[in-house]
Amino acid sequence: MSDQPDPQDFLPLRPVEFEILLALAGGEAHGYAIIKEAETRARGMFRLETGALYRGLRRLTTSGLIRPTEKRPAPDADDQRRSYYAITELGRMVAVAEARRLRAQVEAARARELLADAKGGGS
Amino acid sequence: VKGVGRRPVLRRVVRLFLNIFPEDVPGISREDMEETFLDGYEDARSRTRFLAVELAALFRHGLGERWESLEAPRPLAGLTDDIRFALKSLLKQPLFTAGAVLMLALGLGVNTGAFSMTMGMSRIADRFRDPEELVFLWGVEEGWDRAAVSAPHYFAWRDESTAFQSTAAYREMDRYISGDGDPQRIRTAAVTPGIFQLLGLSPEAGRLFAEADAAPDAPPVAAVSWRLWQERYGGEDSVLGTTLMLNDVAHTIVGILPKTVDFEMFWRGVGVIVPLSLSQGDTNWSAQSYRVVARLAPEATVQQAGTQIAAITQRLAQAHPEANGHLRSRVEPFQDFFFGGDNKLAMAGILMAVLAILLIACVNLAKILMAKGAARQGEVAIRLALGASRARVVRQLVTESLVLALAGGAAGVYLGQLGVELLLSTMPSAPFLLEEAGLDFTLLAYTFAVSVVAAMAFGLTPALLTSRMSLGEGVKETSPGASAGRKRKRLRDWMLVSQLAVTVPLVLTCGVSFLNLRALQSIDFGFPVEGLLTAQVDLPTHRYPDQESQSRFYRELLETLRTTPGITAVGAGIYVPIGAVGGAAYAPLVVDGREAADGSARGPRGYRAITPEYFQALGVGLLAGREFTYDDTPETLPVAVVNEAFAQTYWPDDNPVGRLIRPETDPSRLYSGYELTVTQPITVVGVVQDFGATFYGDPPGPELYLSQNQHPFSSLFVVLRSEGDPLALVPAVREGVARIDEAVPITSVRTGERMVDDWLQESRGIGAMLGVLAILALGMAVLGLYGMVAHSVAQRTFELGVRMVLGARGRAIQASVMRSFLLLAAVGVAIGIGVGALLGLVVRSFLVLLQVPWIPMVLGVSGLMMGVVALAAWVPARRATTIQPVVALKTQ
Repeated sequence: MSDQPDPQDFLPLRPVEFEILLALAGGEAHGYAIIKEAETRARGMFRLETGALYRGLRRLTTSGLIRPTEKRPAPDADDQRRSYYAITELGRMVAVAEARRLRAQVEAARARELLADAKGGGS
Repeated sequence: VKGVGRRPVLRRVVRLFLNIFPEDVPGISREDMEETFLDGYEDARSRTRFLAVELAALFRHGLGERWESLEAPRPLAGLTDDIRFALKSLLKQPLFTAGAVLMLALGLGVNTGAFSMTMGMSRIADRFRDPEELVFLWGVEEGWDRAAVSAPHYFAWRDESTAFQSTAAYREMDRYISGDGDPQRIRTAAVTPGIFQLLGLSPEAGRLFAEADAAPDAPPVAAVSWRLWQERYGGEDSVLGTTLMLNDVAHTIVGILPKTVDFEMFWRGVGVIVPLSLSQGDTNWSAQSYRVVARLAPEATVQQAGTQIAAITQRLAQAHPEANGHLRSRVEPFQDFFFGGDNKLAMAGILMAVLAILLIACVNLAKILMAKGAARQGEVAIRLALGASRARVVRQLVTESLVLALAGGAAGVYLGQLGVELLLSTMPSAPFLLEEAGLDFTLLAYTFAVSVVAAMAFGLTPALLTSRMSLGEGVKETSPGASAGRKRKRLRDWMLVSQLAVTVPLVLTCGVSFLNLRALQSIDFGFPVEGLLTAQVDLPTHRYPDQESQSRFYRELLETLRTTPGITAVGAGIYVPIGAVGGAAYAPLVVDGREAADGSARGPRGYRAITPEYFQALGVGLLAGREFTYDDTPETLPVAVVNEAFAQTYWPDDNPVGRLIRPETDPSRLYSGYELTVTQPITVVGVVQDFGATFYGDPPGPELYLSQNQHPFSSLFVVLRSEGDPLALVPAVREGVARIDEAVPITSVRTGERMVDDWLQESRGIGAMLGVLAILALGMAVLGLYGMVAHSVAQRTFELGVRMVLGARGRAIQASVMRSFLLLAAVGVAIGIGVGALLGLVVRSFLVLLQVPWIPMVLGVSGLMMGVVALAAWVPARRATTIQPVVALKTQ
């Protein structure tokens, strides 16, 4: 814990992992909430399967980018079986770094005129 | 509708798929995933599609996760910590560690030992270049499937076959070295020069032969074996170019054979090699004295070669029926010659025995680890409770097993090598094996593999059992009074039964073989071995070319010795009946009146030539008639003495004295290529008692003795009976020979006891090995059984205490505890005896033994095993039932 890992070490993130980080950047959530959020954002162009989610959560937890949380944002709304996740400080830094990386790529694509007629099509 | 109760069937299916995933990471739960899945399902537009896609994804990702959990380098991250921790925890319990390491070391030691012997033997052929291409071409005759062949055979095989790149021939014979130092009779080989190229040998020093050396008019050259070079010439290079007198012919030493082949085949005991000159025009079909080696052509198989050679041999048989009508042929790969049939079977038997010992060792180790595992359940439970994953805990336990295994393996390799050296030092005929049986990568890999497998199989099981339990169970089980878990108990029962099922046959087989070999030590030869001295005397045939001179030499020698004080009787013969030293002369004979009979019922096929007083010197009694005297000469009536068995076989109801034995006249019963040494009818003049002994305890067979005076031989064993220490007579014998002719070598002088020792030496080595294996197996099994049973009874002290409190009688409890273990033991012993009986049948088929009382042995071993189990159950049970119940309950 004493020496903070370099966020660059985690790049590039897998798309699923980035989706999870993006979802959690907006606040703590449980598994299905993350899936819903990702699907909504992608407007049906991206599907997050339960298995992939599980795997992504496991990876992000192990590397310390997210953490399970004891807090129940809506204590009476749900049962005890659900887990909630929150993005960690490190996770946020990694997400920022990944976003910058992606932005650089998108800009490069634009410079090559790959996105010429798709204004605003990027994120 | 949300909640735990929704969609129970689908929930089950999902759970099944989620189980594919490895362990949960703390904070992430499958339960959350179940809910997530069900949420998604309920919200999906097409539920069928959702199920298909999602379940497939679960499956795929589950496998992926599992794969990653294996592959990720991360699990190795804490390895050094694990090892450090393992070492610390092992050193904290030195007794346990020493016991476990010793157990493994013994099990692995016998394994590496046996394995390295087997490897060594199987690798002998590898000393030649591309050994898989090398074959022997043998003649096959009745009763002999590795017969030498004649020169015309060799040429026909060489020139008419296409299956070989090259062929070579050699013949062995004894010759005499003289000139420098003591005269010495030595085994020599004459080889066609191409043989070195064929085998892929290059000289240690100097050169080997070229074709020109085999030319009839070439100056005589010789190569010496590495051993002779060391022993006679001190390993000096200056020996090259010097002269060696071989049968009084000067040979120039041009080369030294490589050390690597100084063993086996024609190199065994051969000191000098000379070029063999064979002339293509040689038509002597009867001189069957050449052995043939060949290298297969690149595409040829052994079968093809065999077919070709057989066809050629058959054609020759038709073309020259008078010379080689009996001869057939056979092609044998080098590998089979050096490590074939019997060797393999014997080695397989030994390997089985050592594997069984390893199994016993592993079972014992597993028990130690389990006992330790049980003792550590508290520790494990606490670590689990503190958040260590099960994988982490198992990994720690496995690391400990591995550290143990490697320590045991290293100690085992050392023990094994020590054992091999000890064993081979008892087998002087196989010194080359020591080199071959050395440490090498294969052996180390084998030991490593076996130790790791052993540690995994027998360390992992207890580790899994320990870690699989839930926390509650763990806390419960830390209290030693509770009966062990069901799985654990069943495993222990199985271990008890299987250990007995393995140990009993092993101890029986090794024990029986061992006792049988022991019995040979006190074998009765039919005459006193003590006070006997034998000396082998070789008359160089170039100095004593005819029978008359040979006969005269021996008569003179024996008469000189007879007057020597201390010698009570002295004779000589071509044979000494201790370990079948020497042999018999080939002579197919027909017993008078048996002409109509077939095969061996017709008459003997050989005889042994002896001098007067031979029987007296041995100490064999005469039953009827007379012994030979010096009045039996070539000019007088040819006479014979037979033994009792001979008389019983051919004249069961008549007096043998005065009966006739005639030379065989039917040509189909004669082997080609032998000079017949009996040409006239022989009259039986005496009968001696049976004597001699075979390795397998068979009764002596029919023996025919002819007078050496009438059938002289150049090499005889002088047999002396002495009043006192026979070794005191050695100088007299040497002096006696030297006084007649200084150039006559005495090749070996041995007392009767020494001959028995030499004869039994190899079997004693094997016997010692079997004995050690038997004792090792027995000791390990006894200790292991006792420990296991006693430990599991001791764990029940609390339960037994409760039963006492509830009013059960101590004796009844003891009896019931013992009964339950004895029942298991009886099952194990019964299986063991069954397996042992099967093994016994196999053993008996290739080692005609089991002369020893095996029934007491079976009863003894079974009784011992049952006794150990009974005692191991009784001691702690008695303790538990005789101490104050309060004390017993306090063990909780």
